Amino acid sequence: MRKHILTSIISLVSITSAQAAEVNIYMPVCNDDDTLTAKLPDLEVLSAKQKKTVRSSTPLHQIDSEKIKTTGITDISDAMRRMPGVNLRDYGGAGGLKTVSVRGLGSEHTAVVYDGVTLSDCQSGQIDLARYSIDNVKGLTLFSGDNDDIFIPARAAASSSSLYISSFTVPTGDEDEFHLKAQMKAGSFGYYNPYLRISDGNGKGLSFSANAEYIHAENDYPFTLVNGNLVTREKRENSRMNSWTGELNGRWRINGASSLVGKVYYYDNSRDLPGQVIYYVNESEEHLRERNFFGQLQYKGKLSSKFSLLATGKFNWATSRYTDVNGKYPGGKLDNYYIQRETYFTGALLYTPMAGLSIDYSADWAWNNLSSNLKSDIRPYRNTILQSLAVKYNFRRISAMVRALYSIYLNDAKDGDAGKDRYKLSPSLSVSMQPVEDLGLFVRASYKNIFRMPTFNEAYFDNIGSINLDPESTDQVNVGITFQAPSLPWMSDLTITCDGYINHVKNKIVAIPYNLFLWKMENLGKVRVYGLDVSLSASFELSRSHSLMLSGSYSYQRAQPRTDPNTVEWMKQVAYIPLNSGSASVSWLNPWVNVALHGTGCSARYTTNQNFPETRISGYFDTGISLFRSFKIKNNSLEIRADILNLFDKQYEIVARYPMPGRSWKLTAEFEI
Amino acid sequence: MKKSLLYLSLAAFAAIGFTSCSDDDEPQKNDPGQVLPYSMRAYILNQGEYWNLIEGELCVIDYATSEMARDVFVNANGRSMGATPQCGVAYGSKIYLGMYQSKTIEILDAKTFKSLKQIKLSETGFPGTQPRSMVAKNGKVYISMYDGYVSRLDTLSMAIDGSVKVGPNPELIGIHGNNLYVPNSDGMNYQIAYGTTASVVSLDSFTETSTFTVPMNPKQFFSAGGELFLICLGNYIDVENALYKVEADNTCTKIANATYASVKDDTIYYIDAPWGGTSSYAKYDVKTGKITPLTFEEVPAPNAIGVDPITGTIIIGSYKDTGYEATSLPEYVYQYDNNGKFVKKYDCGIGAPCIFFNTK
Repeated sequence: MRKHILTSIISLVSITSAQAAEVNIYMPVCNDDDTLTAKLPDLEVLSAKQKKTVRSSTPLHQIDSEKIKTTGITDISDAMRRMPGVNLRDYGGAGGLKTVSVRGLGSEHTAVVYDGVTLSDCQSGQIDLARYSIDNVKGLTLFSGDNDDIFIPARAAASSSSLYISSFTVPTGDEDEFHLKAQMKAGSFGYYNPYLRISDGNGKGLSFSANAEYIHAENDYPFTLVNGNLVTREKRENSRMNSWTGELNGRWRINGASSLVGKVYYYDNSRDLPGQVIYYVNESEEHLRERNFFGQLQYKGKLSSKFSLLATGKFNWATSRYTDVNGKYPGGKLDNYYIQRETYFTGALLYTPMAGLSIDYSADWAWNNLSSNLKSDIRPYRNTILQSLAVKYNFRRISAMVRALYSIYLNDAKDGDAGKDRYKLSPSLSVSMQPVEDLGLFVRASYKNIFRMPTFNEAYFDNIGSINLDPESTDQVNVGITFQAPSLPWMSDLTITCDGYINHVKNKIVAIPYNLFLWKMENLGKVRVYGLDVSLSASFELSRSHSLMLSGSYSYQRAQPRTDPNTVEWMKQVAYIPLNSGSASVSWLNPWVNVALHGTGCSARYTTNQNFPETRISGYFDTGISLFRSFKIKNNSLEIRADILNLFDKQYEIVARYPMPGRSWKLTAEFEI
Repeated sequence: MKKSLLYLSLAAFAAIGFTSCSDDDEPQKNDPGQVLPYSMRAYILNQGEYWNLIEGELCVIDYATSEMARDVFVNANGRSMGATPQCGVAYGSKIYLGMYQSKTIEILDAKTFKSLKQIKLSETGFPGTQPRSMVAKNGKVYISMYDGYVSRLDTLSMAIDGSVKVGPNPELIGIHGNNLYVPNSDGMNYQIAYGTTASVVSLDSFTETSTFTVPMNPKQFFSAGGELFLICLGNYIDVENALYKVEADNTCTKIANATYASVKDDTIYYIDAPWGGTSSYAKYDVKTGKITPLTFEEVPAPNAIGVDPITGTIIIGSYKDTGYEATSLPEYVYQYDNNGKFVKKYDCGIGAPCIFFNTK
């Protein structure tokens, strides 16, 4: 197998190897606006020796591509599980939907920002992270609460938390070097995944990159089904996935202080859905095809010594088609087809009148619509106008940020009644302080008030949706302490963050029985979440060529329904939120074969807010091991990597009756020029 | 997208939430020799919330002791009966249970509750896999299948020996005379409209002999006092739910607003249960046409009724309250004697139950 992969990669590479140049395995560490490379005024007065994770006035967690490699992260959901405060929903296997929620708030409250632009799904409000390949990720940054950076589009500040995914986009254009990365992954359960990326520049500010990948997975993994005394070995069926992704990026560096970056993206995923495991029958016929196209163009530049501008335009088109075959449907088949479109413009103007003070005004306009082949479709659309005014002030060892976001949501529908329009002002503020000079210890506190609009499903879907819904609002308070030790010869890094928080959710949108036969979405419910997020990372230099890296996270999340004291759910734990969750990894980097041992896990969860004993899903700890090594072949590099996932073959579920895969392997060969 | 699937399944479950069960559809006077001289228990089948790990439950109330034995299937067999049980009959020495999601039928020994046979409906060679309701007569059990069939199970060979295409989405079937009456709800087509047809299946030829038009969203056929009756649920919004008498020419005459019904001899016991509103109860005497209001003041939010065809014992299933989490909580089951006098309240499983009795 390995030989086969190598051969195919070599044949791929031979076409272009004439242009082979210098190797660059590890790209630079990301930051959240890394697609925008124009040199901006340095706003930071605080010691630049400190990592952003430590300096940020709001909780922030980062995983960069180097950490992805060295800690054995295998996919984006694995990466998310390593961040504190994150609760992943995973339906299992390569084709399973994966969404994240942060700190006990629903996943609709987490914005996903891809290369600087917030992704939208007006239909469900959730972004499936499974579609973003870890191989393309340069960095992941998660903000709980507001973003510590103020020079961002207004929409990036319009959610309770935001996950920034920055991809390997395009080189700066200063060099005229051709880069190529060709990679092949193969794994258990019929998984294979070829990936190719090329980039080039003319050395005069023009550059481009292109990447494409294909994933095929059978996902027919075995699992053990325990049904009382009856224990059977079963297999997931109807679980195949075929997925294509392609991206084209271009950059024009207009002058030393401004640049234009463009991206075109296409995704096409056709997958069978195995459904939940049902006793005595295994015959799902569900199928889902999702396609997404978007194009975006971003300008970032310095207009004068005091003004900088960030402007973006985007058009997005996404469809999903869900089919199921069963005699119970009219005509024997269900065929639901949805299309959503978005046009989005944003501009942010940064004014830095004096050292340490910066003021940002951002204005966004988005137009979203949804149409479907449902008989109940009324073709809803929404105009969103967001304006944000933010001030950031750094004085000696104090950094403070305050933001006011004014949101206007104008709902309409072509063929029916639309939801209510909304006008809301949402404040947030945060402060970080370094109590002692020359000591990398920071204390921080932040508050953010924000809301999420009802999704189009919640507002309009069939009989269930309700146009009378109010937004679901959240208040978040965070207090934290962070520490970064000075770099020592034997310990290059020691970083610890610890944050405690209280979140309140009001007007929670839930489906409740409207009569005996119909359910309806309603604003019903209050939730209080309090918790603790702790993260640690450390690197020890054992000798000149040996180092040991440790990282870990721990979260405590107590999410209590507080709608009505006379209910059973009152003050129980919200469904699917574990009290305790965490991750740990140990990596030993050496000249022979690098090793990373890693694991993530959580305590038990309940499927319903009532927490009945039978609805308990046991906790789990999923351990994996990665072995990897790079080879130099002339001026090129080859990295071979072997992963064993779920090393101890523990059977567990994240979503009830969706078993996760047991022990499996993955082999990766990556060739770079 | 997944969310929409969730909503869809919510809708589906809301639609099927009205559990199906035939009480003894066949008035015993037609088969006097087959009815045992006594009945000693009532069966309560909860459908559970399979997707939330809450399984359906078969519970048995013993009249002699007024005790409920819970989860008798699992206790006797050490395994689950399957996902989303929705219908059952106790016929002769056996109990028959239909599992909607698992696509199975379990045949149990009525004394021991041990499974005698599990029928996997996808493997019978006959179409029709999603059991919705059951009735029994002359050594056969008839099962309406939500995917558009009525299947026939032979009680001696314990095998499906035929199925007839009906539908769409047949609900609770009833036997009247020598015919099987099938309410075709077309419930999965609710975005356009609910169904307005019924199928007539001859028990002799086991074929669909005719169809006729009925009020919107037919739910349950049953025979009482020699006449045929039908409950239609309307559209849950502005088309009312009602009990109809089906005349000889197949026209339907409204008798009263009703949601659930059960029969003892010439009397129909029915409930009109608007959600969030006050439920009303009454009995209708088929012979005299007289409606007598009843009260069951202990019951907070009824969602099923069964009347023992022999003893007249009245069993009412109910949500615990009408609050927003009512459907997420375990049920109560209330027992009344044949005069409507309260006997006992029992804790039961989750999901509106199917209530049935010994019928042979």
